[in-house]
Formats: sequence, structure tokens, C-alpha cells
Amino acid sequence: MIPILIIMVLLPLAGLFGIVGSRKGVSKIALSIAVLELIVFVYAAYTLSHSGPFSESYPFIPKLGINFEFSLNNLNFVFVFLSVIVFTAASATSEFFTKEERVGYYSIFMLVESGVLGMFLSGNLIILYLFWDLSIIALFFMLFHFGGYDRRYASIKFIIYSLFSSSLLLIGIIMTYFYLPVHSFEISQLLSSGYLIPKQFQIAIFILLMLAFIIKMPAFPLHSWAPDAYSESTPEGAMLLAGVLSKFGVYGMLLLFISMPIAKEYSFYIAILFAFSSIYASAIALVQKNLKRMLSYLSISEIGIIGFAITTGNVIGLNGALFGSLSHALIISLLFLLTFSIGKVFGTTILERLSGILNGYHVLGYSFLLAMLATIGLPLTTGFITDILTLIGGARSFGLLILAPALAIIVNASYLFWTYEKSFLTGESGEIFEALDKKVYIAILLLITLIIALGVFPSVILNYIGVIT
Amino acid sequence: MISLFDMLAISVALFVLLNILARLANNKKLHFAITFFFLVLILSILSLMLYYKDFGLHMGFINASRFSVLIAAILTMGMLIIQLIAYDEQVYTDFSLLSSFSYAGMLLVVMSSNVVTIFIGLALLTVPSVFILLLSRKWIEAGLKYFIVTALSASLFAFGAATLFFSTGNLQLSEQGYSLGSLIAFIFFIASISIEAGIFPFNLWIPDVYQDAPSFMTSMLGGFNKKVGLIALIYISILMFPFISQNLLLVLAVLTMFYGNLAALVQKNVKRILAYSSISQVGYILIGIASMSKYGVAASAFQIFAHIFAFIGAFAVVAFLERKERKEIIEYIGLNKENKLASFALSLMLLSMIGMPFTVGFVGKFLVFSSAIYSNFAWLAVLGIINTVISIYYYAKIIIAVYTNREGAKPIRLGTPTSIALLISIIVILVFGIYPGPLFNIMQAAASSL
Repeated sequence: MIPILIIMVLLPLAGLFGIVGSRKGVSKIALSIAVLELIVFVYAAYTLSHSGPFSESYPFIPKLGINFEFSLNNLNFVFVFLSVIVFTAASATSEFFTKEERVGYYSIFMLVESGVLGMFLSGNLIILYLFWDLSIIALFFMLFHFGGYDRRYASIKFIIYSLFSSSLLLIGIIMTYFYLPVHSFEISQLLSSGYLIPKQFQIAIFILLMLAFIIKMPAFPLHSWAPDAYSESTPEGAMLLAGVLSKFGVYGMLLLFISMPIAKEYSFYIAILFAFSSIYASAIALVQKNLKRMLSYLSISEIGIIGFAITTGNVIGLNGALFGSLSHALIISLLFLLTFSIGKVFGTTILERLSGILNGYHVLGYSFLLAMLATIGLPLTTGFITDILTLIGGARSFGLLILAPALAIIVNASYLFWTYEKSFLTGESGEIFEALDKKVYIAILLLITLIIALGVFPSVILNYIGVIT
Repeated sequence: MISLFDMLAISVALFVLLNILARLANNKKLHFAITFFFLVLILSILSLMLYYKDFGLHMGFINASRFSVLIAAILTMGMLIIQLIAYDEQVYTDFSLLSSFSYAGMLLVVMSSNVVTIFIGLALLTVPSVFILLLSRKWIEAGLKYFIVTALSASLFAFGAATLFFSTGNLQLSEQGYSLGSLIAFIFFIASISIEAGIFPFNLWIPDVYQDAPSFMTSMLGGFNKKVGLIALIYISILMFPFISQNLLLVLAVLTMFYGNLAALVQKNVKRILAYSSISQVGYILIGIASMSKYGVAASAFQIFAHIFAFIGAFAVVAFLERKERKEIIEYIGLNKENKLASFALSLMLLSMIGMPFTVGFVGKFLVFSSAIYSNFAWLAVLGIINTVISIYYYAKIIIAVYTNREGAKPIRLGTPTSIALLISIIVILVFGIYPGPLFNIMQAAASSL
């Protein structure tokens, strides 16, 4: 038996050594690592479909029951899938830096990749925390060192919020360990006997972890780091932050809602919070002047809808959340990739100065149209499946409350169409500074293909994801 | 038949003796060769001792238990790195000689079986440190301050030992009866060690001395003198006075953590920040001691191990920059452009002090906090984590300065000894951070031998 999962976690580290060692062709190394990950992942998915969930374990501190335990099951499958795809797309994007800087940049990129995969694959809460923090700190350095004009402010805000969230997570994890009847850090134990935790401690753990996840997702009261971080980051950084790292919170929240019965008692209030978060973010997005910031708020709004889907607690809603995570990752990373490409081609992303992009650069114009429609929920794209599942699940649990996410979707649609009309369709296109690299087309094509293919055949994914309720 | 312990004693004695003789030749390389050879020899003897068995009592005043041997091995490893850091200094020959005395003192404290041995060991440790600080006119203020506080600490300790002897007649590190005399003795001991280790009310001298002392000496004071004090605290509180020390230590842990972290927030000098941060780290270590379990002692030992290497590694960079007259945070700006290894090492050490995943710092803090939870002090763990969050601010300030670009920064070279010291620290921090299992097993076995 080949230890596939540890290979998936360690491959980027091998890439890191390769990058630091060779110092040449670093972006090619990064891309080949990502493609290798994809191949290994396909093999792992094949194994999962044939012989069911599987796991691997390596010692860390065995005496305390903390081991490097990695597992692939029906719950984390979709998250691993989306991160492998987004990483492939992100490492195929063009080269923005000088040769000297690229070594550092892609080293950090590899660290983030390892951290994200380790986080989603881990079967042990402490290991989950370790990789969670690793990817956050690596991303901080990516933002801080390579980000946009206002990167200092954005990255420091990001790290303060994130580390606050991760320390809440750590307290929550230690408390979970302590109050589980069988003292254990294993996620499988948490899922099977989480309901045995005494009620008052469940409430404490629930509040701590929910706060941590709300910061990380991000959702309404604690989201203010996200627009800054997304828009001041590098293209890859924005794709990863919005596409992958926001799913940390989603994944954690899923685990929490499945394992702790207390979550169901309070799910209505959490649902209202997320519904409000999605409407609020879409309302703020209406008045944004920069395309990057608009998309950041769009991302927050969509995440709110995913969070709403989790709170429904029924099979359809949870599947909607899982599928929605995948869909959101694909679409938002495509949108950010296109936006940063627009910034590169036309020299700006400020909406007032953008016009006639469709005529000026066909690829960007049409891809943006498709991504936009997929976000809104065009049939035969992944967005449609997400919206349908979420709304049906929501109607089952909360009845008319689904009007709130529906309203958010409508507001999102309105400002996206408005923007498209003003900046893409009408007017003369600006001067083109430089053409895009060929590799960016590959990334765009990969994401678009998946958005449409999985929209037409959602059962390919839906068969894999099963939620235990 | 010579036992391993005899070999240890002989090599320590030879180490000191040959250093004295080498001082006559006044040759840096000779000193370094002797020191290096003997430290490696002692380290291998200690690891053999750790591997074979518990050596128990020797000569009536030395107890070579597993725990003592383990701590001694850790200190020896740290001592090797310090010699590398100090090698580029002008006063290396004197430092090498005097630090060999200090080293013997450390081993004496760590392996002591009664209070008097601790007293002698502490004196042997601190007096040469004072002399090192008096070697140059620049450091004389720090030297005098350190001299005064250590003299105070020593006299308090002697007074405690005397009180204990008159009230119980028993100076061994074994559980004392509850009486007025032992209570007074306990308070004197705690006060004395608080001065040495920088525990809350008696740590006001630390920032001043740490800032004014040369960096290699600061790393010695913070890496060893302080840690040895904490080991003495473990012996005295857990072995002698387990019945009264818990509540006191809990309070001291909280106060020390908050004092160190809050005071560090407003500092601008890197050495001062690290001095306050080392105070807060003492607070974390105290949490482990205060949980009064074998597990807590193992956790404290791990945190001591983690902090020794992070502290010394960070000071290798600080010492290097200090030789270029760069001391404030703003003078650290652009270090990344000047030397990649130094900037990476410094930020890794600071991240380890924060407790970033996959560094020993995380494992240490995790063990300490979970030991508090095991002993039903969940609130203490929460306070500890709050402190960790506070501490991110000042550590991040240094890291950010290091990675901010500065116009006109030119590459500068680290000396070979400093590079080696940095590489060793990096390897230790990462290896035991990624795979701490075996080390923790040894620590736990060692802690249950106490």
C-alpha cells in the first residue's frame, strides 16, 4: 500500500527544496508539483471510491495521542479536491516578479500548499491546528513581502485576525479533548462521541470555535480583514485566500455542526447571522469602486450562503454546502485570476477607468461573463447546483428564511450585470500594456472546464460526498 | 572500575583545569579547541548515562538522576552554541575560562541532592558571570547591577538554608515537614530564586542588565543562569515543599507572564524586547511547574529546552548586529536583503517563541498549557493563550522590520562560527518541532525519576 496521503502533504515540501536548490525555472517546478498532486489525488479518489475511506498514521507525540494522522473520507474529499485544483490553477498563472524574488515567492507558495493539504487531510485535531497555522503564517509572509501597494496594513490586519482565530481554535480543541469521555484528539472520535460532552462545555466549545470559524470564513461582524487582504494580495494569494483558506472555516464549521448536538439547537440564530452576512456583504459590494474589492465582498456574500447551507443541518443543505464550497472555490479563484489579469493588461482595476474590455481583450471578457453567470447560478454551471441545494435545504429547515440568501443572490446579480455593462460592454478599451502569458490561459481553461463539467454532471462529486447526520 | 559518573566528574574537572592552563598561552583557538572537545565529550558521556540507568547519589551531595542528566545534556548543547557565538568577540579567551567555571556550577545545581549544593552551584554559576561583565568598561554598569542582585539572591538563599537547618536539621531535597521554620525557609528560597530566574516581583533588574550586557553574555544570562534557577525552583518546590508551593506558583506564573508581555509591548530596543519576552517565557515555564505533576515537570523541561535554543539562536543574530552597532528595531530594517540566513534564523527563533507550528516552541507551549488543563487549571491555560496572542505583537514587530526593504542595503557576511551556531539552532528547533515524540518520552521518563 502506497502512503498516498503523506505523499500529498510532503510533495510541496520536496518542491520547496527543489526550488531553493535549483533557483532556476522555479515556476515550472511549482506547476509540476501541482500537476503531480493532481495525479496523486486522482489515484486517492479512485482508492476512496473502491475501498472506502482510508487513513495513515505517523508518530508525533504518541504518548499524548497526537499523531500525524491523515485520512481521506467523504467529508474532506471535496475540500482536498478544490485545493488541489486551485493550487494547480494558481501555480499556472503568470510570472509577476524578478528572478531573485521568485525563489522566495514560490517557496512560500509551496509551504502554503503543504499547509492547506495537511489541514484538510488531517485526522487529528492538533495536527489540523498545526497545518492551519502553518498556512496562515506562510500566507502572511506572501502578503507582506509580495503584495500590493498597501500590503503592510493588509497583511498585519490579516495576521492579527487570523492568529486570534487560531488561538481560539486551540483553546477549543484542548477543551474538546478534555471533555470528551475518551480523551482523544482524533476527529473520528469527535464525530462519533461528540454528543457525550456535557452540555455547558458544549456551549463554551461551540462559541469559541464558531468565533474562530467566523473570523476565518469570514462572516459579518468579523470580516473586515478580508477585503483588504484579498485586494492587496498577489493574484495567487487572492486565489488561495478566497478560494481555499476561506474553506478552513467552512470545513471546521461542518465538523462542529455534525459532531455537536448543541449546534442544532442554536442553528436558527447562526442561520440568521449568515443570511444577514450575505445580504450585508452584497449591499457593501454595490458601492465599491475597485473591482478587486467588489469581488472580495462578493466572496464574503457567497461564503455567507454556504454558512447558511451548513446551518440547515439536513442532508440536502449539507450537500449544498459541500458542493457550494467546491463551486465557490472554482468560481471566485477564476474571478480573481481574471481581475488581476485585467489589472496587468490594462494597468488598473478601478471601475471608472475600465471600459470596453470585451472588445479589447476577448478572452478576459468572455471568461469573466461566464464566471459571473456561474456565480449568479446559471443552469449547467456549478453555481446553479449550489443555489438549488442550498435553497431547498434551507426551505426544509427554516421555511421563509431562504428569502434572505435569495435576496443576496439577486443583489449580487444586479451589481455584477451593472458592472459588466459599464466596464466590459460599453466604451473604448484602454491601452493594452502587456499581453497575458500562455500559461494563464491554461489556468482559465482548467477552471472554466471544471465549472461547466461539474455543473452538467454534478453527480460525479455528489456521489463522493456523503454527510453523516 | 571507573563508572560513567566518575568519567563525567573527571572530564568536568579537566575541562576547567585545562582552560586555566590555556589562559597562560592566551590563544583563542586553543581555548576553543579545549572547550569544544570537552563539551562534546561531556555530552556523549551524559547521553550514555541517560541511556544506561539512573546513577543516583554520589559523594553525598550529588544526585545524578535521569532528570538531572537530561537537563545537563541540554545545557551542554546550549553551551556549545554559546561558545560559537562568543568566538568572534575580543574577550573570548577570558570568556572561555570563566564560562567553564559557570558551566561546572550549572552542572552542580542541576545534579544537586541538597540545598547546600544548590547554593554552591549557584554561586559558582553567577560569580564568573559577574566577572565576565566586568571585563570591559562598556558593560560595567550591567556587571555591578548583576553583582548586587546575585549577592542579594545568594544571601537570601543562605538565610533560607540556615533557617531550614535550624528548624528541621534536614537539608536534603526531600519532603519537609510543615512548620513555621520550613515556611520561612520556603519564602526565602522562593525570593532568592525569583531574583535569579526573573519571577515577577524581583525581576526589575532583568531588562537593564540584559540590555547593557554584551549579547553573548545576555544569551548566557537568559539561556543558562535563568534556566538553572528554574531547575532549582523545580527541585525546591516539587521535592521539598509540594504542600505549600502550588498556589503561590500559580499566582507568580500569571503575574510574570503578564508583566513580561505587557512591558515588552512598548519597547523599541531588540535586546530589551527579548529580555521582557524571556520574563514572559519564565511565566509559561512556571505554569508547568505549578501544575505539580510529573507531566507538568516534563512540560516545563520541554519548554526550558525550547526557550534555551530559541533565545540563544536569536541572540546569535543580535550579537552579530551589535558588533555593527545596530540595536534598535528600526536598525533591523532591511536585514533580509543583507543576509538571508540571519533574517530567516531570527524570524524562526521568534516564531518559535510565539509558538508557531512545527517549531519546538509550539510543542513546549502546548505541553505546558495542557499540563495546566490536566491539573484542572483550565483558566490558567486560557490566560497563557491570551498572553501568547499579546506577545505576537512585539515578536511580529521585529520580524516585520527584518523583512521590510531598505534602500541601499548591501549583503553582509556572517562569520563562520555564527553561521554554524545558527544552523545548529535552526536544526534543533525544526527537528524537535516536527518530531518531538522521542524527546518527550525521554522527558517524561526523566520527570518520573525525580
